[in-house]
Amino acid sequence: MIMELEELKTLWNAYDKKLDKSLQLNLQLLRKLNFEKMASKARTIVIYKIIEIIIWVTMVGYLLNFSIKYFEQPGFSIPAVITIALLVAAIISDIRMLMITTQLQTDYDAPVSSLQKKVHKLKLIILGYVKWSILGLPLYPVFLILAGKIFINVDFWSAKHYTYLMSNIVVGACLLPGFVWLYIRLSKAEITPVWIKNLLIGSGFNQAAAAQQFLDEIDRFEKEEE
Amino acid sequence: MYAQATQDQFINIITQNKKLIFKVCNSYCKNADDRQDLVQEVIIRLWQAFGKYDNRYKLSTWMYRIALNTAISHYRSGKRREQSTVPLSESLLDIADENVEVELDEQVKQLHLFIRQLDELNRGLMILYLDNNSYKEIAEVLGISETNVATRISRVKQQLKNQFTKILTP
Repeated sequence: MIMELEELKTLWNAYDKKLDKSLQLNLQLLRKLNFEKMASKARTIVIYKIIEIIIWVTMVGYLLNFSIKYFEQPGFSIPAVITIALLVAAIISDIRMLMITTQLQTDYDAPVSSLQKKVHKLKLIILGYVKWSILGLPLYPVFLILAGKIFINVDFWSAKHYTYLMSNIVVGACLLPGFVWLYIRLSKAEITPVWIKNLLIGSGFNQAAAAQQFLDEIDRFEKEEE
Repeated sequence: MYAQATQDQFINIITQNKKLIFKVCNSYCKNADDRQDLVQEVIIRLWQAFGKYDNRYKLSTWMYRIALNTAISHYRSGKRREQSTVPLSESLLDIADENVEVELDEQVKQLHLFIRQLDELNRGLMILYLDNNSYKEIAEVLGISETNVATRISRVKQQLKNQFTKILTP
């Protein structure tokens, strides 16, 4: 026996009729739900993102001022410029996230394929943000120099701290190729070595790969017309 | 006063379309707890979009879009206990008599099994088709062309034949 789609429709209609009789909506519980609170929770996420952007922009402003002040001391101005570049990348990423998040909150009644594309693009941006943050870790001596000067007025380039700073720069430099390699591996669609796969479980890579895969599926779903 | 009237109007719409919400949620969540979370999440999304509902569209189109978008996002994130929902001790929407599920014959169970085996997008397509929506309405909800809807339904039909042949062949 082969089940035809029309027979399934008949079964589905029978199921529908059974639901007519037995499906119950808990009206009391529905009325108890705090509708206004639900809406405000979504707005809170956007507010947090805006606050984050304001903090990054303030930091950029401060560091621009700092780099001008120490223009003739590249030991300070270059770390400031590197940090500004990273912050600008973070701001751009945050703005893209904010735009998509805002659209998602208002566009849930958009056609399924277009909304799901947005949802999964947002996931990729978030995970890209995480990947870049990982890549930035070996740059920690840059932040050390700046934090020392700004917060405790310590000059890590001075003779007293020079060995300490150099040892940190060497550690950072040694870590950098490893992190670049890891970033490249994270960017590849297919990862073959099993030990890397195991290492990446829970790192968000799987989610990024799944999001990309689903975006490809949506594209196929939209285009397939033959 | 106005807010209360709006809320009452919304609750009325949910009451009239509870089957639509249940069928979508049930097709994406087998587990009862998960389904309960998803039902709540769908209702939240519907409420958030309710203010800007454009009555040039059919209400069912609007509801299907939101319910399917929420269900697919929920299903793909694999999340349990959605952060925006509140754990409830009771179900917002459920079958009063659990025996109804038991009573459903083998073929209906196979139908649910089959639907749940489809990928997320085709599952949405199938629900819309089985709910007697026209190709035009299905295309509007999913954001694809009517021709594409027809092609995809024909493929699902073929897949279905193969599936049931496999199940029923000793």
